[in-house]
Amino acid sequence: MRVKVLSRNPDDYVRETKLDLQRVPRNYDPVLHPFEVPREYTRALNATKLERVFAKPFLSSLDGHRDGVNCMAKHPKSLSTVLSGACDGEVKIWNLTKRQCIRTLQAHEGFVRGMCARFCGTSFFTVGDDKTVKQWKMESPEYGEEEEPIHTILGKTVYTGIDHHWKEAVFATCGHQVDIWDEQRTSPMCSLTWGFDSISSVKFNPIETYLLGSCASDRNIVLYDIRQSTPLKKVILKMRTNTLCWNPMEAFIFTAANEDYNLYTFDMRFLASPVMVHMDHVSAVLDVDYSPTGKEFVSASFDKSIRIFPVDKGHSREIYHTKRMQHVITVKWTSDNKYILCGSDEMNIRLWKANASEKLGVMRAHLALPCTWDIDNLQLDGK
Amino acid sequence: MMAEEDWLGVEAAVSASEDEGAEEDDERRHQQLLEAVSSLSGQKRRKLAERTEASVQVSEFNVSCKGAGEKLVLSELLQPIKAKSALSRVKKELNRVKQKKAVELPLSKEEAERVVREAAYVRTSKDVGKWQQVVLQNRRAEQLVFPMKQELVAVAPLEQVVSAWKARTPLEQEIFGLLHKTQQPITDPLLTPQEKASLQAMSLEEARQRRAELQKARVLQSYYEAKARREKKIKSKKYHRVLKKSKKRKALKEFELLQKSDPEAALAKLEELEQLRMEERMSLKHQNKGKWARSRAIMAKYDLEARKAMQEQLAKNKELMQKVRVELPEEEPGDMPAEDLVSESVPTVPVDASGANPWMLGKPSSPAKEPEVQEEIQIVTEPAVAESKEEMSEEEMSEEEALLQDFEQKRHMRRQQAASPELRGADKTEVVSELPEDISIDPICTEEQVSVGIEQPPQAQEEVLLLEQQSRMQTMEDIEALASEEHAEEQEIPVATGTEKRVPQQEGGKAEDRQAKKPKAKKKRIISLQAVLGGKSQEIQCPSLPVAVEEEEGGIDQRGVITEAFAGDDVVADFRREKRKAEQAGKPQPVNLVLPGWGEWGGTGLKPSKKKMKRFLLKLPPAPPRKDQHLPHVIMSEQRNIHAAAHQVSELPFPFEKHQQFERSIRTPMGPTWNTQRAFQKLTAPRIVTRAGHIIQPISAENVPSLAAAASSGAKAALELAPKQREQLSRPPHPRKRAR
Repeated sequence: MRVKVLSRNPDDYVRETKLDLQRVPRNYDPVLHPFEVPREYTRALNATKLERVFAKPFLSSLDGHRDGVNCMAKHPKSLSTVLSGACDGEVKIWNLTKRQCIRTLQAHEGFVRGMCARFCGTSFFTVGDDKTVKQWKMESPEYGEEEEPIHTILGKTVYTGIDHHWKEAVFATCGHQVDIWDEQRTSPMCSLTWGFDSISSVKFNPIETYLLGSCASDRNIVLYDIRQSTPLKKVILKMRTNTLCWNPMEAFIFTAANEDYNLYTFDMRFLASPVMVHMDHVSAVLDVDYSPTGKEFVSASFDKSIRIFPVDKGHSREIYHTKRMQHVITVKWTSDNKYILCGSDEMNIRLWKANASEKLGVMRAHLALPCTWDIDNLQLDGK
Repeated sequence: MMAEEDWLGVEAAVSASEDEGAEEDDERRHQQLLEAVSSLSGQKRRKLAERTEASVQVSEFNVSCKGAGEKLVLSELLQPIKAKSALSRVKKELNRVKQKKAVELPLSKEEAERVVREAAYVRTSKDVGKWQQVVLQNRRAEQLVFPMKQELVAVAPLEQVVSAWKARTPLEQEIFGLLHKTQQPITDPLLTPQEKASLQAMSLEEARQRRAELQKARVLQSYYEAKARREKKIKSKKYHRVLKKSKKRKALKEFELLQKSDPEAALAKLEELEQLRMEERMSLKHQNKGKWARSRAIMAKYDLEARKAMQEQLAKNKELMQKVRVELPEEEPGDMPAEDLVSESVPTVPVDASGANPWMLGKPSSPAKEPEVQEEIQIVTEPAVAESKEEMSEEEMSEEEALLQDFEQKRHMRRQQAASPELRGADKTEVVSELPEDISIDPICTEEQVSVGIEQPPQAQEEVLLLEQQSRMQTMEDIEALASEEHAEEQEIPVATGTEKRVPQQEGGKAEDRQAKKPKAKKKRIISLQAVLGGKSQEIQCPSLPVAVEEEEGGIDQRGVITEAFAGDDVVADFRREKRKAEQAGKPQPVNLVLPGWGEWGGTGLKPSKKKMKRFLLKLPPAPPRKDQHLPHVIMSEQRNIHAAAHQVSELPFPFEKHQQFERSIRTPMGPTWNTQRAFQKLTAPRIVTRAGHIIQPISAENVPSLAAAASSGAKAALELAPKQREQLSRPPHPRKRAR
């Protein structure tokens, strides 16, 4: 006689270990789960609130400078290294993982006006109030060796900013004019002028590397092309622009930090009007830096705060400030898109998370999943 | 001196008193007077050169004429020269100068710079514009994974590691010494030259082919071996005898054949046999010295068989020892299989050596050889790869030829079949497929064909016609054959109607024209054509487009045109309808509270009673009068909810292009309650994924496949440009040559 019984595959309901979660078969029929809109709304609201609850962006403060931090530079090859220059001419190199200063050098007399690292990460350049451009090795000197720059170029006027080409041994300084230098020469390859006002900052385009943007104190933003060694176009705004930053993913987009509390994002092909005006700051914006993904940027302001703006939004998504942070002069977004560094008047460099509620460090698998989200990987996992 | 001065003073006073008209006269007189006075004194006074300008405006560039503001005209200057022929050259020159236009002034520095800037800006923004597509794509992307260029886990090549690393310890040094001794490559290729050559020589395809060949060869060999083994095991003497004889015969026949076809090869074969004989002589194999022979010798006294065998062997020995001249000695395949093999391979080897392999030369015309021989040849020639390849290609060639022949035959067969009416049924489809082509010769055809025909130059058209003529003739025959069968007609009619639909109206006129010209014979044969034409002509009789054109040409006023253009849509009526709909929608609907089966029988096909319906169908009070009641051109909707409006978006968010899309995306639930785990994860996947500890470099043209090619050339150009610019800058401005 044959007896028929119900049989189930134990794989469908038996846990492999008792630590596994119980398997609960689900029915996704929408009829069984009514009120989806109100329920989703509640969940979304809760998630937003939780995000705010867990927002703890401040990580640490790097102290050691004896004057206000005037400029900073990222190391192009090492995420843990950051350089900073202070108003007393001191340059410090920091290790972010240890949160320590690993090297200090007296680079200039007076302010360190600008600094930038060479694209290979072996050396860096500083300009100061003493009318010099100095190139330094990234590594600290050997025992018994003196701390000396590799090259020193003595100029005629004060340099107010410097930026290095992204691929070639060329750098640009600004002051009374924009000078393009070959690293091997002591005189500029060419000088670009348009008008006679002092230029406060100069930036190379990271994608189309022959493009240069500068902002002058006569309220201008001027673009240059070093291939043709000619200025291209000038935009005159209502007030002075302090710095600008090119979008690292969109070759023709740049954002200018203006004295009129706003930031202006321009498309360099259509300069008649900005693509977006970002407003939220309540005082002059002093510095701006793009995230390496090109989707957001961070701005530092005289109003003692830094703000994070999405590129396509007029208002900021985040504001970071602390009680002790004074006027923020310089800000940088690290190249792994995780952290923000800001240097301020009261001699400290602060390290923030770029995403305030993000969980850092080693995570357990089920927590880490949303962070390492990648559709392709998911498909692989799910077979 | 004083007197003189007085005099002058008086003169001046006098001259002043006189009127202005006589001034010039006075001056002259004054001059004379002065001269007279100077001559009186007796001293020779130096005459001061005095220059006077006739004009008010004095310029070093302009030759001025006497009137102020008047311009000097060249023709005036030339007038006095006209008569004199000596000055004709000068005149010509001047004329030429007159014809030449003046060079425009160079632009001022500012203006020149502006022009340069403008040009540079336009060029640069065009350059940068190449990123537009990439940027848009990235903005729209569902998910971006950074760093974009996935860093491959770089396995440093061994040679790099080795070059950086040196053998220090004795063990390492020893190992390296060994490696060097055996000439094992340590650096770059990491392959021996042979390996490299083999790698280069063979692609994957080739390798596969070769492997297949080898496999086949091996199989054949094993078959052959098995066969040989089996044959060797056969104990029947008779069988062996027969075998030997047949072999002998075969060899003889082959040799004869060879002698006829290729005497050189035959000679070579003879030589080979001679060689064999010589070897035999040296080996003393058949000289009654062997073990078997000795045992036979003992047995020979008593056994007749053994004696016979002995004698046979001796005879063979003699045979072998004899020198052969022309004739083929009777070759003796020995008992051993090795000998067998040799004897069998004999015919092929010399041929191979001579380089003219009959098999390689083999043509389909030559008589087919025995399969055994073929196999053997393959086995023998296998090691020589190139040869075998050739052979393969030869074989393929022959195969292809065979295929071609086959096709030819089939085609032939088919044609024959087509000719015979019995086999019509099978070929019916073919005829049908050819029909449209057939029709295309006539004006009636598909649109495409017509357009092609129009665009083609007359010659080409003719060619096409000619080509099609041929095909038609074929098909005509076909159709002729078809005509006997009735069902062919049935087939053709639907095709005809199909073409009829596709016929463009413009072609109508032409078609009609040609219809008349068409020979009658054709009409008879293609009955469907007539049907087609008949249908089409009907269509043409009521065309809409040409009529409208005529009217326009006739000249109708603007209003008429507009009304005609918008003849389809009646806006007013539409609006009225819309409003009525809105009114209907605004009316309160009666609420049905009837519960079927409550208090009475219920079920399928049973309706609740009228009484119940009357009682439980609630009529709501009429809605308040509409605000647009008395406004015929207005629809006022009071549906907008102010409270909800605060939560609604005023404009469409970025990636969406239609509001329906956005609404749908909002409406679909995202949570895990309504979606499977996978779907939920996909729906909530973050827009940007980054990896901790990875540096994200700015996007570069090398990473974007669409831009990579352009970028490489562009970068070069930039590099080339730069030094030129530098030179220009450093070089002082070109010194201008001075005029004097």
